[in-house]
Order: sequence, then structure tokens, then C-alpha cells
Amino acid sequence: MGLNDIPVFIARTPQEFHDLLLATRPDPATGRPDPARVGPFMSTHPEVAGAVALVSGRTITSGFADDTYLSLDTFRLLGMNGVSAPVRWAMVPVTPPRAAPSGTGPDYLFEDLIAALHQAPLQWRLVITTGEPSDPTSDPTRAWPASRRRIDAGTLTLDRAESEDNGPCTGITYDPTVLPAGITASDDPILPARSAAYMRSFTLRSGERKPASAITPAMVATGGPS
Amino acid sequence: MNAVIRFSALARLLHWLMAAMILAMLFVGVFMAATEGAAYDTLLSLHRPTGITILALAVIRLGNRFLVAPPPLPGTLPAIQRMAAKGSHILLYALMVAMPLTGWAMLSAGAYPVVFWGSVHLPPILPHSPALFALLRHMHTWLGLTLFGVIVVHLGAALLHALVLRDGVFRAMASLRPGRCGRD
Ligand code: HEM
Ligand code: HEM
Repeated sequence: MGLNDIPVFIARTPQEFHDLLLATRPDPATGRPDPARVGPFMSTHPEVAGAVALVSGRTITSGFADDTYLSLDTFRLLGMNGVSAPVRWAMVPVTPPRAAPSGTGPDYLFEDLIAALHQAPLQWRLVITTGEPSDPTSDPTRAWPASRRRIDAGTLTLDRAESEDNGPCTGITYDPTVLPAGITASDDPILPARSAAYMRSFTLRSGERKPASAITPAMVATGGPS
Repeated sequence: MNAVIRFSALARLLHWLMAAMILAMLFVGVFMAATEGAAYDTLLSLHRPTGITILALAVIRLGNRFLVAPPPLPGTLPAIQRMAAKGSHILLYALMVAMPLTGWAMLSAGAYPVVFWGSVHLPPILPHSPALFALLRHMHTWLGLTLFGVIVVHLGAALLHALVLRDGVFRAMASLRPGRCGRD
């Protein structure tokens, strides 16, 4: 499953996401988004502006190990009674907040994760939130109320990391519409868009030569930069 | 003995049924690959079973083609046109098998589930290989465009026979009569 550590997605539809990317594209002169373009876009797209505020206001944890990862999009879970319910899910860390890692290089978050895994396995709880009829299923920019029923659906235990080089994670695509029996996509318009874009991306990246990963198998094996 | 002037009824039925299905598949494919809207999922879940059905029908059709000889082309047709007809027909048969096979193979190589319908999945026909997936995904596009081109030429030739030459070639495939032989 593909999860992200932001509280909501930042656009309601593929078109809105496309327009957002155009509005926030870097200005060649400064290398940063052009405020003269971003400002008017945000004032005419209050839903995007609201979501961006939630994303920038989120708690940033000290590393990967104590972070929460969310489905963002809505799915449907089929109950034993044959009725399906809208759900969103999150991987909530069992690890309490940790002290900020001491590294400074561009890869320090990865190094910290590898070092943590060399000490002990890391765990997350899979928490499924069920939506009420009033909760938006087709709008991933809107969070559901915190009072919704939460189901603790199991524990994910990570006991080792894996380099991208010859690792099992790069040769596949995380198509969110490829789902096991009992789970289906909701009417969230971002889901089919992700499916289409991921296939295109998978085609392009699978057809090119991949440079060596900055996180080498040796680093993963020894628990630190070599 | 009466001369064979028509394709067998099965050949004609399969020809027109598959012509409609293949044309629909080409348009659905191009539209689907260019959209990211809600139609993407719906179209892809129609595209896969229709494509697999085309593969099954093509096998039946080729079997019938080898068992039941088609009517001869008119003796008045120049050799070059006979060769063009034969070559283009071989190409059409090859592509109507290759299109569904590349579709099935690319999903297999990409480690996608090959969903036929609902929970009915087909087995992968290739091992997981991202590089092969990329190659086959491009082939599916280029073979599709080639098929479209050959169909346009084929359609032009059919209309030439029907409207200009009026030599019975078009009726051999388009007739609604049951038998294969003429009355004379
Ligand atoms: C859209 C996809 C189509 C495919 C894949 C297709 C394929 C074929 C093939 C493989 C044959 C050869 C039969 C044989 O000799 O074994 C054939 C014959 C024929 N097709 Fe099509 N066809 C298509 C569309 C059409 C259309 C739109 C027309 C007419 C407007 C047409 C008219 C004919 C005619 C008249 C013949 C008989 C030619 C002969 O006597 O050898 N076809 N077609
Ligand atoms: C006669 C059979 C078939 C025809 C004529 C056909 C035609 C096409 C065409 C024209 C495209 C668009 C290519 C592009 O624009 O790049 C396409 C895409 C595709 N086809 Fe087929 N196809 C056939 C069978 C199949 C089968 C059997 C499968 C799978 C089991 C399949 C899976 C796909 C997939 C996954 C895509 C790509 C969607 C995307 O890129 O987002 N096709 N097809």
C-alpha cells in the first residue's frame, strides 16, 4: 500500500492538481514558486489553500520511525453483511517520539532509520477509520472528524531496511486500485488518476537505466554510512 | 459442382463481430491511455475482458480458416494485388493475436494482477520483469497503431472491391446468405 505522512491530499481532482502544479512551478529566475502566480491561485481555490495550510501546519516528527502515514484517499471495506463502508487508514507509530537524529548529511533520516532497525524492530498499528454518511469520500482535501470509529486492524513490524539497489520495492508500482478481495476504490477521483499516472511512470522508469542508490546495500547491512 | 463464392457463415460472423470489437478496442485503448478521469478504471475493466475474448475468437477463427478454405480471389486480379491481399490478411491475423498477447504479457511482466472480470484473474504468462513490462507496454501502443493503419488500408481495399471493381470480393464477406456456394 502507498501511504503518505501528510494529513490530507492537496487537490480534489486531477484537474485541480494539474492546475496547482502549474501555479506552483518554480520560477526559472529564483528557483522558487512565483508568489504572483501562487497568490491568485490560492485565493480562487480555497479548498487547496485549506489543505496546504493543514499540510504545512502538521507536526514534523524527528524521523521516519515515529511518523504517521495515511491513506489520504477513501476506500470501501465490504462487511460480513454485504454492505460496504467508506474507510481511510493510517499506520500509527508504536515507537514514542524520539530525539532528533544527530546526522547532518542529505541522507541522515535514512541513516537514522537503518541505525534504529539495527537496534530493535519498529512497529506501527494499522488504524482503520470508518466514515459516516456525512463524511466526504470523494474529496481527499477534507479530513474526517476526529470522533469517528477507529478499528485497530493489526501491527506492522519492520525488522530490516532494504536498499533500492536490487531491492524488491522498485520493480513494482503501488497502484491504489489494485486491491485485495473485500476492499474496493471509493468515488474519490484521485484514485483512478493515480492508477493511470503510476502505469505511465512505471513504464518510463522501467525503461531507463537506474543510477546507483545513495543508500547502498553495504550501508543497510552495517547500520551506518561506510 | 457449384463454385465456392462466399466465406463460410462462421468466417463471416467472426469477421464482422471481431471487426466491431477490434475497432472499439483501438478507440477505447487510445482514449483510456490518454485520460486520468473516472472513465479510466471503467474502460480498462472493459478493455481487458474484451481483448481476451478477441484472443479466444481469433484462435477459433484461425482454426476455421485452416479447415475451411476461403473463396478464391477473382482470376482477373493482378498478381501484385493478390500478394497485397494475402500479405495484409496475414498481418491482420498476426496483429489480432499479438495485441491481446502483449496486453496480457505486459501486465504479467509488470506484476499487475491480470483481472478478467471481477474476482476472475488470469495467470501471468511472463515472470515479473520491469524492463520487459516497459518494452511490452510500448509494443502494445506501436502494434496498436500498426493495426489501425492496416485496417484503414484493408477498409480502402474492401470499398474498392465493393464500389469500383464490383468483382464479388466484397460480397464474399458481406453476404447474408447461409451457404458458401453460388447457384450456377
Ligand atoms: C476492423 C477490423 C478488421 C479486421 C481485423 C479484418 C480482418 C480481415 C481478415 C483477416 C480477412 C481475411 C480473410 C481470409 O482470407 O482469411 C478479411 C477479409 C475481408 N474483410 Fe476484413 N477486417 C476488418 C474490417 C473490415 C471492414 C471494415 C471491411 C469493409 C468495409 C472489411 C471487408 C473485408 C472483405 C470484403 C474481406 C474479404 C476479402 C477476400 O475475399 O479475401 N473488413 N478481413
Ligand atoms: C485486440 C486486442 C487489443 C487491442 C486492439 C488493444 C488496444 C490498445 C490500445 C490502442 C491502447 C492504447 C495505447 C496507447 O495509447 O498508448 C491500449 C492500452 C492498454 N491495453 Fe490494450 N488492446 C488489446 C488487448 C488488451 C488486453 C488483452 C489487455 C490486458 C489483459 C490490454 C491491456 C491494456 C492496458 C493495461 C493498456 C494501457 C493503459 C494505460 O497506459 O494506462 N489490452 N490497448
